[in-house]
Amino acid sequence: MKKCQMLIVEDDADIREQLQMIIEDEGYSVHACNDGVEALEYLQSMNVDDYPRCILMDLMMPRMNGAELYQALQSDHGMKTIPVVLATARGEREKAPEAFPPGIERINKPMDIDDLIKVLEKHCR
Amino acid sequence: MTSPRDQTLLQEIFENSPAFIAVLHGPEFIFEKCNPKYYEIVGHRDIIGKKLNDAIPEIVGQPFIDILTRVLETGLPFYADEIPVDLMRKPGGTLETRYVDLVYQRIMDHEGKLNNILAHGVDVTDKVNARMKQEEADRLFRTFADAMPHMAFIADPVGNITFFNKRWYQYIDGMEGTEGWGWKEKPIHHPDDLQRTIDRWTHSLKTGEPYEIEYRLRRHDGVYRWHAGRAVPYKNHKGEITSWIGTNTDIHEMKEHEGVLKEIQVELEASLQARDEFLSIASHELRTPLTALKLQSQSLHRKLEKGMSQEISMERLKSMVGITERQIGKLTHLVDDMLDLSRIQSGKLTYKFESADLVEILKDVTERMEEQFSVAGSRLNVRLPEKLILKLDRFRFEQVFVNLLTNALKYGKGSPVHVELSESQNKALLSVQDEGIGIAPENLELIFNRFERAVSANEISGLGLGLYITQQIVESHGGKIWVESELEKGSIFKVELPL
Repeated sequence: MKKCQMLIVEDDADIREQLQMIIEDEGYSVHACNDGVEALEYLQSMNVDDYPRCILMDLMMPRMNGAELYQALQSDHGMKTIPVVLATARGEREKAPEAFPPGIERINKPMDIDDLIKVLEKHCR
Repeated sequence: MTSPRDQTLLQEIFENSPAFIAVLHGPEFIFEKCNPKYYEIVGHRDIIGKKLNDAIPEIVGQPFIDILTRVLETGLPFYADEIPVDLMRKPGGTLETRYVDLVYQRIMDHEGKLNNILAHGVDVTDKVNARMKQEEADRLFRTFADAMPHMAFIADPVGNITFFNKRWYQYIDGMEGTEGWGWKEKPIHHPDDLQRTIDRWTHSLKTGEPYEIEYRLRRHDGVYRWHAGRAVPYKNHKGEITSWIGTNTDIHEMKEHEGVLKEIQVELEASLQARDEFLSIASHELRTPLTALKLQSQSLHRKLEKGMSQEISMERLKSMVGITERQIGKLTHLVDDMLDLSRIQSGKLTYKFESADLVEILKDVTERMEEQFSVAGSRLNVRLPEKLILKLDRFRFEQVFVNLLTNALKYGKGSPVHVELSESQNKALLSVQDEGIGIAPENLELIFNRFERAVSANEISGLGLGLYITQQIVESHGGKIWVESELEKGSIFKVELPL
């Protein structure tokens, strides 16, 4: 499996496609999943050494949402070391406060490309 | 014969007795002897040696002389309790009624003949007056208690009811004065309130704390009505509770209103919560296309800034235009739904009825959605008659079909979708069936409500307005819509329209 620097978990196909293109344009490798279940399956299929440098995840997704995915990651010895960035709309923060630690990294939705590049530079360089 | 010592003793008793004593002689009842108490009651008149009707002229016309005559003639003593006698307590004063316990008995005179009367007795006027005052107060209280619209009662310190006012008897069986009714033997409290009542009442009796309760009491016609029960302890001068004074006030209407108000409040809160949830879902749904469009424009901008516009491939350009159109379509759809909701709620959703072919409309819609179906991997099976002309709003029915097909796509999860249109008994029947996640029985009614969906908003996108709007449109055309479904087996939505 090809090593990727950033894992995107986002259920909207168009946004997924765009994020992929933008990240690749910036010179990073990226893999995109539709939901939490897909993301977990993807991570489980690889060696710990090949884990992405960062996971950017949406909150509202079918099958397994962001909060559930985060819990699953935290309960795995290896996966919990991967930095997680939440793509959240303002106001969503209040909706699932207990699911995430208070200091968790977020970027606002609608997403700003500069914010995205900052995240890439911070974690994936 | 009595000894001189006995004589002195008798004299002492005579002088100091709290009873009034007089000895009257012969048929004219001449006063022979009176003690100080007797003088006191007749106003200290000089009466010794005088006939009764001369000494106390006001006695004439009262029954005493007749009684005295009878006692003297027959020898049978006369006893009376609380007999009224009108006396002048001061010379020239007005007559005053005194009450006396009185005994007349025949005794021997100094010659040994049974010719004297011993009249003695006690002035009980103060006692009688006090009792009459008490009786008067009681009468006043009863009149007052009976005049109240409340059910009033008095209980003794251990809780036995000693008095109920008339209103009680009217309430329990419509007849006045049903005697011997006791709440402990035959409670009229609602079974659900009885134990609570006993506990509260027992607590008040034990502690002396005022009794306050709301409970239902059964009226004579069997109807339970809410009452506010109150009782306060009544204490004597020593501070001991001698009775409890209580009332029951009918608060039934107030209680009912309270219930209605509470219902309204619950509904209001639910609708506020639904609105908040809707706003949160709506903003999330609006953000998704905005994110896609924003990312697109920003990435283009970035390329232009870097002078890399030439590097944009034809393929990428096509994909970008596709994304833009899809996301604009999503935004338009969201805004249309919100607008429709607002129109429905204000009663301003209007229809343009015209003769149209349902088959043609359905074909149009399915053609338009073909690509979506193929992307989702859903096979679309359509069975249509040749023609089915109806009077309807074409635009709104396109919306109905789009909504039903979109749902079948969304919840069908890639399963085949079957669309069938048929005609029977002056009715057109449309069915849209998927083989997806299905709907739990408890949600079957719910899904047509606005903002509702059978699965959590986390899992499926959309405003939750589609079926609500669809139902409004179908019903405005005189038709009806319903769903048959089984979890994990899929759902079939049916629309019936009059021809």
